[in-house]
Amino acid sequence: MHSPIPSIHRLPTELLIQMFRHVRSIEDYPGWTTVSRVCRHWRTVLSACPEHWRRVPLPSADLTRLSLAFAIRLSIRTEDFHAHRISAHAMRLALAEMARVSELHIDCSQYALSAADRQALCVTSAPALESLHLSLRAQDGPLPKTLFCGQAPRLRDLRIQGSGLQWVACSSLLEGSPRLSALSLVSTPSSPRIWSSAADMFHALRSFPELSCLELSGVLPRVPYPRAEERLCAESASRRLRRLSVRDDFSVLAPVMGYWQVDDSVDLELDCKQMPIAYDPDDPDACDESVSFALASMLMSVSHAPDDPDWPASFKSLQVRETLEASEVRLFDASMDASDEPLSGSVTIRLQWPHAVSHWASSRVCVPRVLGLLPVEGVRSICADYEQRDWGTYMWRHLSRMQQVQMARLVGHGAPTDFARALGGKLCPKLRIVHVENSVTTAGSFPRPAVVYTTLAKALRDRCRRDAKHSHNTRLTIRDSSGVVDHMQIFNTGHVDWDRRSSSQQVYDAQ
Amino acid sequence: MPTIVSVDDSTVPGEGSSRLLLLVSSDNKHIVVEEDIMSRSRFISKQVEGFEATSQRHAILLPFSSFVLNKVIEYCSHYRGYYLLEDDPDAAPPGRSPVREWDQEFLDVDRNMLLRIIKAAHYLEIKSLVGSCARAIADMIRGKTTEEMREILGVENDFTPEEEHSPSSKCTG
Repeated sequence: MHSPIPSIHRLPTELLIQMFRHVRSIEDYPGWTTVSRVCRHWRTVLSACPEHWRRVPLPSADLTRLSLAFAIRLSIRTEDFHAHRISAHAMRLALAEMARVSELHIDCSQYALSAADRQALCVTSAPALESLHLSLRAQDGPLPKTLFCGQAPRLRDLRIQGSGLQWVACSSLLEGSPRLSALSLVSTPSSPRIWSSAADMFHALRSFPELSCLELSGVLPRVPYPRAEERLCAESASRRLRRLSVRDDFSVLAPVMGYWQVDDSVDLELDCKQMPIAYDPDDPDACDESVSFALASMLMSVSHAPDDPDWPASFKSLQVRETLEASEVRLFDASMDASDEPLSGSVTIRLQWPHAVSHWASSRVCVPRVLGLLPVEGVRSICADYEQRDWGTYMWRHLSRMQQVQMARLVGHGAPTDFARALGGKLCPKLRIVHVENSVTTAGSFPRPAVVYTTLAKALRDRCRRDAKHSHNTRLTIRDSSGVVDHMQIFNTGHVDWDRRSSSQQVYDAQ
Repeated sequence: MPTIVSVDDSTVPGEGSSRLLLLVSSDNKHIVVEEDIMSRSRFISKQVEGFEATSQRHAILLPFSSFVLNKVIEYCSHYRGYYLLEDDPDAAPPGRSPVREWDQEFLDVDRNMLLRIIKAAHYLEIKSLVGSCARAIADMIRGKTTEEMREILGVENDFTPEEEHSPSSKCTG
């Protein structure tokens, strides 16, 4: 025997409310408003369910009135109605209730704020507003300077996006929003900057003691290398940050990030991929040398402890690869060429120093600083491409930390000289594959290539003799584009048998 | 309040580690179930606490059929030993019930049965089952027009033409 068939009308009110809550959570507009048209009982129940009407149904002024009648807090979000035309009348009705609005998200590409709407945003304060997202277009003009009469004391989440962002408009609002925890300002690099100096920016950020999530895109001030007092200001501005995302032109980003000492626990994202540095190799003096300092400082600010095994992965996740690219430093996780012996799982650090950069006096300080921060302890293959001898001196100083290197590729006439010198010591004990690509056979004060190659070959041979167990497949390959090979020497000893393979490519194998 | 009748201890073998409960449905079917299975029900738990206070064991009469009761027991048996956030009285209530695949299959029943189950779950205070049923009902009317909702759930349109035409007009009761 079954009990009588229950009617949905006879369900307890709390069950109906729970059902309506699910309808609201799974239905887009207009589905969640349809239930109010089913029967009088449902509408009565819904009228006692203010949460159901929190989202203001902007496409219909009639439903908007219903929402305004039943809801306590209001959420005005144009993105909820992307498939519908938003009623200007409904928007006006909703904005008139600004005192109850807790969320205001307006995308002007979807709904262009009218003059009346702008006026409505200025005449009352926003005591309940917690989240404000505004996406402006260039033709929308600047925001009103007296937005919400400068009063939004509960505002915690502010995102303003659009070219020509007017900080003046936001500043008065933010002064009345001390509880801000998430701030996102997105503009375009070509737009006027909202801060005239780094000090101004950090001063503004310091007024939000609870700020934990910060996104700045195309809004950083264009500043020279910072002064000491600005560093102190930067530290106090980022004390509680948990996430920092900065996108900008490298020449703008690097100086600011150079002294923004962000804590290691901060989820940091730096991106200047789409906005590379304006670097002209033919006119290196045009580059501000502070950029190299900034780069080094920035690396220090983002790097984790060198002995952190996860450091390379973290480094990549920070998108510093793109950042460094602008300064011709590249980090990538790949083997060298397909023709090379694969080293599975190896992390390769590739350093490409432009010739022009070496003219910077500061570089002799900067480069070792940068290198000193790289996680070279686990590196198994290295590739160097540079022309200047001095650079090698600084670079190979760090070979003492590269105890795992098995393969080296050297390009440029400055490379083998210093590398050979380094190999003369007991560095890189596991090195067994060396490729040399040298475009210049003799140049100025450099040692003759014959001497260099001989030194390299001797160094490798001595290694094989010292450690026969690890000498298997040891080889030295020299590709000389000039074709001058008559200075080469053939070694033929008891343990090492060097063989000449061709006139333009010398391959020496230690069997 | 449920009707509680005294029963002979020999009827309910509740001694030892595996304690049993006797549930009596509205169609007078006696169903013996392990207490542990029904512990998800706040109503049953409170009854058991009452037994322990008085040192007397009773059968628990429930105002729904054995068919519905067996469905509820099936649900409780399936989640025996599982922690479900919705049933934790100390946890903050979740914003919405999670979608559980098994629940969707379990509640793939006709509208009348679904309404019976949600009423039983509400009576027994099994919040996770109430939430799943509410979600199932919401899924039934998802994307439907007003007329289709009325038809699916058997609701009569009792609006006056004026009220129906203007959604913002007040209902007078």
